[in-house]
Amino acid sequence: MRLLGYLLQTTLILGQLAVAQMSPEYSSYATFTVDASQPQGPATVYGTVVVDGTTTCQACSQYYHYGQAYLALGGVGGYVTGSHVSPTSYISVSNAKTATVALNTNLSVVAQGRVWCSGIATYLYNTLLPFNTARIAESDYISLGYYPVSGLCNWGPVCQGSCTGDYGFSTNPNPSGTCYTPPQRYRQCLDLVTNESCFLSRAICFGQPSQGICS
Amino acid sequence: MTRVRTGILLVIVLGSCAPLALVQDHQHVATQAADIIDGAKTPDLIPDSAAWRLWLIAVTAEDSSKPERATRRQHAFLRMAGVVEDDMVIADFILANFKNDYASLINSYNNSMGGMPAKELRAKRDSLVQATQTSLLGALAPLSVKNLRNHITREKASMKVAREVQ
Repeated sequence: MRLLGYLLQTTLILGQLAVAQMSPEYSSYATFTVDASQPQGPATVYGTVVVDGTTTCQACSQYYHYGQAYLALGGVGGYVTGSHVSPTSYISVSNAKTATVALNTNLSVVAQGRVWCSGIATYLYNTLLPFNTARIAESDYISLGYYPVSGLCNWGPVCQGSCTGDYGFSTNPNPSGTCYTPPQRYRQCLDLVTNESCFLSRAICFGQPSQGICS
Repeated sequence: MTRVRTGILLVIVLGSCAPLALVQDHQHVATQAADIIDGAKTPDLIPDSAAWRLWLIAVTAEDSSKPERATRRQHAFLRMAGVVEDDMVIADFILANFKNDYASLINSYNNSMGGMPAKELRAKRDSLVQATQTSLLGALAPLSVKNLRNHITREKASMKVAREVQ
């Protein structure tokens, strides 16, 4: 009797299934940058999340997929959701957000790409991208004439927690032969730091009359 | 033990009859971790074509709540990639063409309702990305080209890319 029950149950389950080969092929990416054209005051951070790809599938025409790109900066943001399309359609959804952040203040980041499938009533593809925080951090300063080496511009010390890879490197002066914009004597730079690691060295640079490094 | 063996045998037999079923559903297999190349762990396994494609899509994306910042936004991403100021205008032109052509290609494929094989779509998509890459690298200053190549290689660490069926 128990065997008969098992047989019936198996028949019902298998009776509703047809074999469908499906290969979801989605890729995702998140990236950030800062607006260097407004160096003073709170920085503008731009972020983008992309989910892009398709599924190869047979016998799937009665179902639909849609892509979602999620991006929240500082707790503000949400999903961009693509149209409901056939599972074999190509999905390319991007979510671009803008936020302002004060110097040395951590901005929380959540970035995610996912694709919903009505056939299984869940997300066929769902991935978090590797960002948790973003911060604009004080970094190098430059001062030609104070630390000259062979006529090059020499970058000064690096603030704690910022990009450190460029410390001690020298760069060529600009065409006018200076390393900063006269009459300023210093050139201060800020880094974009994500997850407390260097993401973009010297993301914002500006001239200033005095050394303001590591306030 | 005998019941277990019988059960396994029934599953195999009935499974072979499943395509004859009147009520059809389909079996989905969610994307497994093994199908995805995590650029944070193995960036070298991410093909350049996939990295360039994702970067091109991201850099041309617009924040719909701040359309007035579209150009500043794009230039901010280009500066981050090391593109010099004098190259911004030509880069804008090439990127605008990519954005339009990519959207057109996807629309053509989706509207073809299976008329265009997925393999053909991938070939056209990768060809468009390659053509855009060639245009950028040919039109930009040598310093921009060097910086851009290095930047996109570094950006692979922020990508998760599907291993595609060829």
